[in-house]
Amino acid sequence: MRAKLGVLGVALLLTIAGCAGSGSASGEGGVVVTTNILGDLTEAVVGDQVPVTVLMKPNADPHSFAISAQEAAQLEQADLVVHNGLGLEEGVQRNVDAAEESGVPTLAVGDQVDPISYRDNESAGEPDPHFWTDPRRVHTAVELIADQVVSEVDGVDEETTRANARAYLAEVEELDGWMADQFAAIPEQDRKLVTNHHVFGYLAQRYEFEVLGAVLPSGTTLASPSASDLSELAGTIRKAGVAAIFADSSQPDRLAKVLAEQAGLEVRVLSLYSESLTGPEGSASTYLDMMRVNTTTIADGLSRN
Amino acid sequence: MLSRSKVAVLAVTAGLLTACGGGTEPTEPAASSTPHGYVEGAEETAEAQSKLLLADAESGAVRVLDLLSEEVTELDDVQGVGGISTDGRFGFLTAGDTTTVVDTGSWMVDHGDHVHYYRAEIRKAGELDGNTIAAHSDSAITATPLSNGTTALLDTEALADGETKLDDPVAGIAVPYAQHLVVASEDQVEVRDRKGGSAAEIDESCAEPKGSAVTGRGAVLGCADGALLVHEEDERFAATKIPYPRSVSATERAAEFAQRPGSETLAATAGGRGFWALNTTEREWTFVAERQVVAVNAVGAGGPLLALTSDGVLHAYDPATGEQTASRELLSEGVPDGASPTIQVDTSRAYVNDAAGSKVYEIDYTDELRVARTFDLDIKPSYLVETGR
Repeated sequence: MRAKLGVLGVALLLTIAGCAGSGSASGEGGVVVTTNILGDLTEAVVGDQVPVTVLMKPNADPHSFAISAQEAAQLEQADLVVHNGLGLEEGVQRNVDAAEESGVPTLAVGDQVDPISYRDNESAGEPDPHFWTDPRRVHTAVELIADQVVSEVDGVDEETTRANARAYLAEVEELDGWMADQFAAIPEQDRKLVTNHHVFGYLAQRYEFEVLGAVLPSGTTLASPSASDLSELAGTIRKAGVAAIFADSSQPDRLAKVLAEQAGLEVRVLSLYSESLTGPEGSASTYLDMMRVNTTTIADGLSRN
Repeated sequence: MLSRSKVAVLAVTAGLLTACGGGTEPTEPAASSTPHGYVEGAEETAEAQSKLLLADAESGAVRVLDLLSEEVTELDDVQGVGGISTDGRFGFLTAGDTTTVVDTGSWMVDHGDHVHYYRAEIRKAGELDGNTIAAHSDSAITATPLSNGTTALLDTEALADGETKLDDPVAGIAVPYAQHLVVASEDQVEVRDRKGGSAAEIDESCAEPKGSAVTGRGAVLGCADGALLVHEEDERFAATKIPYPRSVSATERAAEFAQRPGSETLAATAGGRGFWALNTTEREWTFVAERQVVAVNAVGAGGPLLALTSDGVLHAYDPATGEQTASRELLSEGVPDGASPTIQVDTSRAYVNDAAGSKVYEIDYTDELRVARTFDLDIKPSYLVETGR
């Protein structure tokens, strides 16, 4: 069945090539990237040499974002498609597959950065796609992207691309060193992330944190909670003995207040950027900014003074 | 996998043809250029955006109460409203010979190992002929069994776009399950594919089918002699009859199931004598004798069974033994004749409507039926459903 679809894809491409004769001969070209985090890395490598199209909008969910037929067509006309893979982009996987089957070169970055597997919960054993929380793996990713851009994309200059990559890699190395310094200031027994995010496995591995999964009480529960609503979360916090938890909550202040009142726990509820960059107005509009903001939040939150 | 790839190729074709048309072709309508499951204007959220849809039988007033912000949204009146049901997102309000469909703008998509929560605009989505008595949906089909014994089939994506696009109605009760449609009529039970073709025949019959539900263990149909559980494994469908433990009369049998969405345990009233709980994992009925039960529900997963009696008292029962574990006086005036209070249950709270008192109670069922919040309303909430769970 896959083969058959591939043939269909090729037939369609031929159709287009036939009718696009008067316009740009090879269609749109350029690089199409699925997630905005990979988009940021790819833009750093490519610069303004050729168009880089990022499909995922700021502040979106990489698991569920979907694209229009026009964007899908653009994917099929790209010189190179850069995607995360490892099951991250569920909403566009079939579009990436279709592009690949019609002969577009694709780079599944996650596959090639030595992925780790989830340890607990129902996804145990499956590869964790959120490699970007480890800057060393992002270093590898940038090298991979640069290689692919050089070998697959029309209209880019190898020297310029390599120089762009080198400059960005230096920034990633600096980030990694700075993060290590920041986290080293946290006492070893406090390097614990009590969180409802499932994306910090790589960060934990790189900087020796322990991740303690937490289920937050629902928003409606927080309006008028009883001890049993909070018992699981309170137990995890008490056992970890941390001063802050990192949680996506629509009411972080309310959650902190309720934990103090109902469970006698004085903790700060801090939010981290996890799977998407913000727009230019936000404080995580680039990969480097996102990592810096998260690092500061974690280091400050877990410090005793 | 096959169908997903196919959609992608078709979508691409549409895009390419437009490109080739050189601007002379009319632009494709938005519905065909947006990918499957994508909803324009929907926002993904970190947690459930639970809401209550409320309707006043006397005035026809319709309200949506946001359980997080406690904001109330007014919708157009539905004069003569006489019933309500939901598939978890859309509210179906019946009045006269028609059903008004309301998009409460909150829903959940279960991907098996994780769930996504969404919110979008609250608005009227359309109208359909007939009186909806239940609603079940998947990403393609929304099936609403009607009081006339047929089931209306709506296009789920179109409904999300504010359009009621109806397929031919089905005789009997139809429930979307495992990318198919389970259909129970007087003569037979059948599994159909989404185009209406027969996909599997079920050996078991279901006399006088009434009541339907979807659980993690399969689709459930209420029959005169028990429940029929239709389940799928590796695209093979099979059915198991779960007979009543004793012979039951037409008034005693389960005719309408209540559940926490996704839960394996169902509850149904049994005439005036008590109520039934159906555990679809154990495939077992439990009868709880309680006089004057007017509404029931089941928390599932070991949580209590809940029942409201006509004196306005809410009761909790152990699901395994049927023994009462807690009770609380809730509706101070009791339940007036003709009123139809309901109990809605989500993963942490239950909601009970008090039409006479213009109130809805939020109940913590893990804490001896404590009233966590009381919502005072500007309407009499005769009908209540919860969405976004």
